[in-house]
Amino acid sequence: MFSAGAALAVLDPMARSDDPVGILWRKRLALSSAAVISQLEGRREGEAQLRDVFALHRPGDDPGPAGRMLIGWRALGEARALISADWPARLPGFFDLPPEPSAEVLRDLGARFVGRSPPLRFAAEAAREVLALGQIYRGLALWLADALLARALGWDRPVPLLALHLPRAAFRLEGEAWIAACASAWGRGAVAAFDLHIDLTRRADALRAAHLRRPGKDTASIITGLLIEDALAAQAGAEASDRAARRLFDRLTSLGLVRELTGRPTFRLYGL
Amino acid sequence: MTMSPKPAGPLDTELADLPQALRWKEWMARVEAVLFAASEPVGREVLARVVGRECALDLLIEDISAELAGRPYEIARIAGCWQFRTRPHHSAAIRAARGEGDASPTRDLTQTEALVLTIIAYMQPVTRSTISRLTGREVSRDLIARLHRQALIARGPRSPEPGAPYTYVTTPGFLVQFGLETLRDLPDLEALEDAGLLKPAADIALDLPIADEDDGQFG
Repeated sequence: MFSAGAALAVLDPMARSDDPVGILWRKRLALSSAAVISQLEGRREGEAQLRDVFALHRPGDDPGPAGRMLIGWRALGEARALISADWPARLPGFFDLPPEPSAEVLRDLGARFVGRSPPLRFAAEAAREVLALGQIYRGLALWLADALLARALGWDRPVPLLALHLPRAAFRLEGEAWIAACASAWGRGAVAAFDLHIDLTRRADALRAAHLRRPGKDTASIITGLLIEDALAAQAGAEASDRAARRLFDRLTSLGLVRELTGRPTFRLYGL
Repeated sequence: MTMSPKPAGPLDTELADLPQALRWKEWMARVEAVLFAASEPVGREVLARVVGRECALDLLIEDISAELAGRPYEIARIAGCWQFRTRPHHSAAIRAARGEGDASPTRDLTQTEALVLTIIAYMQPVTRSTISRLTGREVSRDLIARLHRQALIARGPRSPEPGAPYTYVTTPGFLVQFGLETLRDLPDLEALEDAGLLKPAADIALDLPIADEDDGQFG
């Protein structure tokens, strides 16, 4: 538990920073968390499918159960995730859960005062209470644990950390063993998130510093988009055409500033 | 009409001349008769027309239900209304009497529609061409449209394949119709395989157009 606290302390300035990279960072962690829970629930979607569902989904389309879960994990990285009055109405939908059984627990956890209990213990105990509702609440429990940890640590926006490194066997643990398992998962999650943040910051700095000859009309807005979004499709923007966007992405990829994330010849998605 | 001779005029709902117990009995009988004669669920305001103003309808119906304890039918509460309904475990007998062999709750769905709906439920989001490949024959747009019209499925995100076909997902209406609380309540495919109700689905899973997992990593 001590090492977890140290890792989270190192992560603290990153979690508090207002740098737009923090948005992308949370979205990447959310994507991985959604993939982990998807596999935990026996669904077949991995990161690539979840990314496709999100990037290709248009307003009015139903994103399906896995897509809803990814949307839920992405919502965890927003300041609104900490508005606990919304929890009973909002959270069960993310995880395809019936609204009734969890409503009372969510209200109770939302109103709970952190007090003197250590943040890790506070968040892990709350997750245990949600887990007591049944197996299907595993995703929701981990979501809440990250949200409550952020509240206890005073972060404005939570960071999805726990789900990525909590071993499957940990769900059977109770009491101190459960709290220790969560603490070690948070520790590992914080270290991995730290590395990811360093990497993304480096890439973002390179992209910002890139000197593009003859920038197109939408270049600036596309680059801003790349800095905050997990994956972008090469499509027509406000002013430039489809083809112009594709050319820009090709150029950025050949300069090594942006990666193509799907490996497909069509429906390509680009991101840092 | 088999009604006891009584003075013409509006129905006496208050029954002030009867003692308490008899009045209650009469009200119970009236409500039961109205429910029995109705073909659709009956609302509170309709039942209130045949009983006194002070009558507690919920208690009255509870008393009727208690009397029906041993009978093969009951009063069911449906969407805020009440209806006479045979008890669920007699459904097999009723179906047999009507000559319907199929025990599925979706009598209106044809076998193919039910199959397609099942595939969508398990595999969602899934495209029409994938469904066609799994069923082994072309699934027509009309069939998808029929399921769409019954609000059992909805349009999901487009699939990254040539032509960018739409995928399909099930709706909340689907869950209601099949009495499921969440999609996790669908029978476990592995359990069905073990019970011998389903051929092993390994080939089905491998057949899906899924990109390589490795590409999703970031580093």
